[in-house]
Amino acid sequence: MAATVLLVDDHAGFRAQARVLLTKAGFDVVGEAEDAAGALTAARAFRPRVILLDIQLPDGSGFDVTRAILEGDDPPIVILISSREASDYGTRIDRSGARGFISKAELSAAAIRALLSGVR
Amino acid sequence: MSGRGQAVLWVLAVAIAVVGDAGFIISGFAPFGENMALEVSLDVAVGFGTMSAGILTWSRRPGNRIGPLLYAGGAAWSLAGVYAFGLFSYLYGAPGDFGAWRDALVVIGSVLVPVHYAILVHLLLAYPEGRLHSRLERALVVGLYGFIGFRAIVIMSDPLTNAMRFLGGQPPLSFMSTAAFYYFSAVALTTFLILTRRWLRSTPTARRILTPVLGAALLLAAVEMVSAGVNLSKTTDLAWASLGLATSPLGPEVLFYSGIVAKLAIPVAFLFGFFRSTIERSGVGDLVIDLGSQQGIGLRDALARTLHDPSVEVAYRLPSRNGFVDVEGRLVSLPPEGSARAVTMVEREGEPLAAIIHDRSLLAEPALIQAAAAAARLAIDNERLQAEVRARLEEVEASRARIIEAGDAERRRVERNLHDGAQQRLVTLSLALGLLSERLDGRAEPELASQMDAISAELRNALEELRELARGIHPAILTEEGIAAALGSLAERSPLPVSLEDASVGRLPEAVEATVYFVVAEALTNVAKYAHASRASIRLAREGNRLQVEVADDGVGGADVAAGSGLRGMEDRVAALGGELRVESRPGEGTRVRVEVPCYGR
Repeated sequence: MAATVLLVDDHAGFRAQARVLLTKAGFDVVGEAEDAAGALTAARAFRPRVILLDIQLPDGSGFDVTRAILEGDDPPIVILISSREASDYGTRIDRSGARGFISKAELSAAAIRALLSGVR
Repeated sequence: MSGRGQAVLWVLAVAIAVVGDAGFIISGFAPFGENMALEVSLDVAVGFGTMSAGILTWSRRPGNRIGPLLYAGGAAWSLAGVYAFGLFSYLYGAPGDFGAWRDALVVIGSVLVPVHYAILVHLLLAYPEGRLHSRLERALVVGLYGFIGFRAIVIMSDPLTNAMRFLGGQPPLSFMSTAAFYYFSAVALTTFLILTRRWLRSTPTARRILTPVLGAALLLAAVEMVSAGVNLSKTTDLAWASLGLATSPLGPEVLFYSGIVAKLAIPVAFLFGFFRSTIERSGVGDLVIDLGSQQGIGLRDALARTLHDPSVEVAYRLPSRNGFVDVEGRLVSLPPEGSARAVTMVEREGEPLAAIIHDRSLLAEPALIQAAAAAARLAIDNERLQAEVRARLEEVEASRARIIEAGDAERRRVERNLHDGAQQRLVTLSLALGLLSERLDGRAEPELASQMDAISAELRNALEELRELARGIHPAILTEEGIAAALGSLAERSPLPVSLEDASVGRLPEAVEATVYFVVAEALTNVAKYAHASRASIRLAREGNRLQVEVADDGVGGADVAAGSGLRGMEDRVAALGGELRVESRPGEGTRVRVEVPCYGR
């Protein structure tokens, strides 16, 4: 069964491209959200296995959303994404509880699979 | 008084002293024994000393009668001696026949004998303001001058005979001498009581002015009383005795000398008053120094010390309330004219700046109080200027810090816009291009495929450059993670090995973090460009409310802050936060950039 994915990003153009990329690679994109509040609602509604979560959201930070989501039962795997680089966030990514980070420019099915199969 | 007027008075004083005692001098002191030379010298000293005190006081207080009175008293004392001139030529026929001149001198001398006594009483009662204070005082003085006038008329009714009778205490004028003795004694006692009462009722400040002169007067009165008593036992001439002129040769020597000392004490006391206010005016110099040194001594305390008036108050003019306030800003009402307190205004260009409220007696020292007021004006102006400068400086420092903060905020906004706008679009574009080339994979013409690859590479470069640009404008990590993480990221990206020693300083004010970050970034850029260093180190430490950052390298040194505009700009930034940037860069010893800024947590 294909892994279910929730896409969270405030940029509609990016979400559209990412949906195509993920679908083509065999992922099941079950939902999209454009802000932190929407992300939390959608995560409860769709119960995806993976959340691709932008760090810079208009109403909050992806780090806060990660913490809130991971507090629930049987939480999904969170993969943080950003148009910035990992080094711009210092140690925050490591401390966030997310499975990993992918720079948006480097986003690919291979990068996601590598994180999903990797051990924490 | 003009310099010329003073010169005339001095010449006249010398002439009067010489003429007055000429009789003694010309007679060669023969009739009076071996001590006569000394006695005459002392006599001259009393007359000339009193006139000198008069000139000095007159020139300093032209509007005060004390000066002219002193001068007149000294002159009367000296001139009275001319009777001796005539008398001796009668007695000894030497030196030559003076005829009518001889008679005139005897008459003039005998008229003048009691004048200095009247003037002395006048002086004591009028001191220090120069005017008499009450009807009683006026009555005493007018009565004395009247008596002297009456006596002169009696003498002039038969000049030579009566003069000789007065001088010799012969009848039928002896009744007048007796009356004079009791009259003079009563006046002396009344004067003594008036002065004692005045002294007792005076403020400490006023007493400082009264004491020397009143002390001298008391000394004189005491000596005169004893002398009169002693003389009365030896002569029947009460007038002679009461004038104290008879102490020599009738009294014992000790009485004579104490009489002279007491009389000398009068001009000395007045001179002391004169010189003391000169000395105290030099105290105004100390006042200026005190106020200039800013060593915690306030204007009021400094004034109280200089004026020897612990009750001094300083009230500052408040134009907005059209009144005066004290240092604490409480409204102060000025004492009315004629009360025990007097007001001296401190003015600038005719506008009152402040008021010095002080003891009324200080009005007798106008030069001192005016000098003190001038010094106070300097101090007040100085305080106001300093306050203005301080306020302006604080304003400028605050606005400079605000400008830096506004600049930082603007840079954060621009970075954020780049990130949300252009960067997002390019990222999306890059994703779309990737998908497109995947779809074309193996199906497109080779030429098209290589063109796609070129576009992808160009797009990656654009993204990379844009990221660098955004980071240069304002590093996201600084906002996200704080200064330590941001410096770590700088160290990682540096082309040469950079070690970071970071004593967890926590989050700091945004302006401090940004400043430190940009200084270190600039320093590391310089290391990479010019230092030819093999390694560099960053040290970040916080001591209390001071943050210290140091960037050191092992390069060639010899860097010049003035030459590189980069660090120059950083210096300004650091200064805006009230910090300091130093560069040590001796040739061959590497370069050390140190920054220290005040910082108060976040």
